[in-house]
Amino acid sequence: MIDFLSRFFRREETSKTLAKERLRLILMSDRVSLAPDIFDAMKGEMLAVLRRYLEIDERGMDVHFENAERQFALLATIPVREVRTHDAIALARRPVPQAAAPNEIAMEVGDPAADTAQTVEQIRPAPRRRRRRRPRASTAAPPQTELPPETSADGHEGPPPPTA
Amino acid sequence: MPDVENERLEIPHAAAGPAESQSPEAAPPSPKPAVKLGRSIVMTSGKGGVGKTTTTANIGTALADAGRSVVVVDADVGLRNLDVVLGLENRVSKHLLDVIEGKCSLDEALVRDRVRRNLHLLPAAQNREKDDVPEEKMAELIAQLRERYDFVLIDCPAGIEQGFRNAVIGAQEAVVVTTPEVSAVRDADRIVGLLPQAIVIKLVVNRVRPAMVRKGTMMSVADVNAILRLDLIGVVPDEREIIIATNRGTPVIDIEGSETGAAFRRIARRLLGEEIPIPAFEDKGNFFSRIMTTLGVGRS
Amino acid sequence: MTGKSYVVTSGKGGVGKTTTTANVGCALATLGKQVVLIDADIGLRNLDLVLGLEKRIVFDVVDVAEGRCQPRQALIRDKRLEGLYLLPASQTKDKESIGEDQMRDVVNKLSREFDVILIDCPAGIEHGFRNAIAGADEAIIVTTPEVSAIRDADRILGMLGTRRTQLIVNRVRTEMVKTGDMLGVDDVAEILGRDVLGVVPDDEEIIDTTNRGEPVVLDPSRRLSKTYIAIARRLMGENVPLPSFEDDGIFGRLRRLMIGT
Repeated sequence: MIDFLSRFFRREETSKTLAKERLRLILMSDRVSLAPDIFDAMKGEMLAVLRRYLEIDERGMDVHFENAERQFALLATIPVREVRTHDAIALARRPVPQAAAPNEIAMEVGDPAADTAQTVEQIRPAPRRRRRRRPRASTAAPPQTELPPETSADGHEGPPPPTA
Repeated sequence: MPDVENERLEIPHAAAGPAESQSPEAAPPSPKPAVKLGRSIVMTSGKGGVGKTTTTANIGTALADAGRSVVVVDADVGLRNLDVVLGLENRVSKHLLDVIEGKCSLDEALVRDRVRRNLHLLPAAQNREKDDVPEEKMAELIAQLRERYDFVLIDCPAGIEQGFRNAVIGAQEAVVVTTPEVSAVRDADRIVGLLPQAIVIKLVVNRVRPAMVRKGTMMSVADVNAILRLDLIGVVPDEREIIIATNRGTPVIDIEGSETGAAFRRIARRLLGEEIPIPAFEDKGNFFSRIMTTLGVGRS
Repeated sequence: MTGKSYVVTSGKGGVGKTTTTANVGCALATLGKQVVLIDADIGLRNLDLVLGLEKRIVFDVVDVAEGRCQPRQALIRDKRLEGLYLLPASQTKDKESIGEDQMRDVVNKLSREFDVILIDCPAGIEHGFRNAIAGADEAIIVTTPEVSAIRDADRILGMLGTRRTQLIVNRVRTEMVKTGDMLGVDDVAEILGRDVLGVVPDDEEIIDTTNRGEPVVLDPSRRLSKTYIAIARRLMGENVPLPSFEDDGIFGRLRRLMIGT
């Protein structure tokens, strides 16, 4: 139905309007394909946000841009192992005082029994949030950041805010 | 993906045998001796912006309309535009370099035209460089395409660098595209000098403005070919319809009443062997002696 | 004095880099600047032809780069215009015969003697392109209001680093913009996100003057002459308003006449 309508309206389009619209999509696609490192950075930050809420299976993950008719979309297939508990999510989302930090983030590994934090990827330098310590099992992670790693089954360190 | 059952063009060939082709520097021997190889034609010019891509797209489309199986190959790595001219830009996912590097099959990279089933596009990579493409691999790819299609049209980038060499390597024939302007003719002359000896060369003069030729402010086709001295297979007038067609992403041959489109259709028919006289767009030839002396009398 | 160097580039071929280089160069010379134009399209030279200087070439940029002569010896002085010089490309060598460092060197030497250096860039993004931009402080991107040209211009923008880049929108057909059959200057500037240095209408004069080797600027009675002078002024920092193609009535024409575009 929408397709029919859009085709109808298209007849009213001047070739210039059509050209502009096509160019918009073409340039998006071109620019994205030319900056793989920026794409990786974007992907990393996206995942950092998602991990506040979800436990995801990164091996089954697929994130890519798709150039469809009249639409340029970012498609992400992200298998979810677990949705975090309300408490964990609330904790993760609580605003925390910022602290300067090296450009690494420590993330929890999928396995609930894990004691170690694991650096997933490097992101451009950004102020890191200090997470409130959650009174839980012992942690013995190598301090890859200035903060003592605080990992547990359901909680994880707050990710840095997305850079502008 | 390309399910091409169309009749193959009858190509006169020397003798039945492992390798059938028109020129001495034949493609590698086909495993099936009975398969007729398609024609590989490179559209080149030297000068940029004379209409190679438009010519490739439109002749390819016209040949497809004539019932032939056609693949148009965008050899302009890094600055691809054949997809845009055909309006297929949002169907492109894989490209030529992916195929050459073994990252995907040929079928995965080929894009089928929206309207003509028997017209396919092999896109260029946008984010790579022309130096990334090894010449021998390009030659192999073109040979492979010749086994599947009646016509392999290769859109050559501007210039005379590696991009040009890669585009030419698999071609048995060349269509040199020029406009009636001194820079373009000079560059066309240069390009002809750089093409391999055995390649069969034809000329298309594009963007002719008959009114200007009559006034004497533009070279006539006769003037141009007096310098280049090539086998002329087409004269294409300049029209605003070309701009509109590219805006829309449709070939200009699909625009009703377009003289430019009609000219491209005639060129396709001439390539198929039909003898169609070239319409006299202009009245008389005008000689620009300055150009003649500058450029010399054709090539040696 | 240290002159400033600009590369005139586009990505897409045939949008008017060479005619722009020639005419903006001439315009700058008429404004009293010492200008040298460098043809970086080695193997496919055309700047000499457009300027009508093709018969006077002795040495070229490759000779200078390889030390066979001094830059001064290779420069061709335009006899029609005070202050305009051409450093031609070689026609027989190919683009690999010169490197980025050599180009930078040549431009540096010339910048000691000239106010402005314009480098005519070849089409594409291969060696020739990289050589041409190597010596440039800033870039002038020439594009037409067509899909392929704009796409290629965008690609080029990504390769110019932190250099200042400005646009010249060439071959604008006002009637087609009005009927919605051609993108307008605003559209182009918006899509590419760059300042517009100049707008050049599509005009038969260019073909004619190129054939003759007489840049349009040499003849003040030519329509496009004013256009290029305005571009040259803007390049030198003057605040010359861009032409508005909106009003084409008598007042529009009067306005344009007064502004000098």
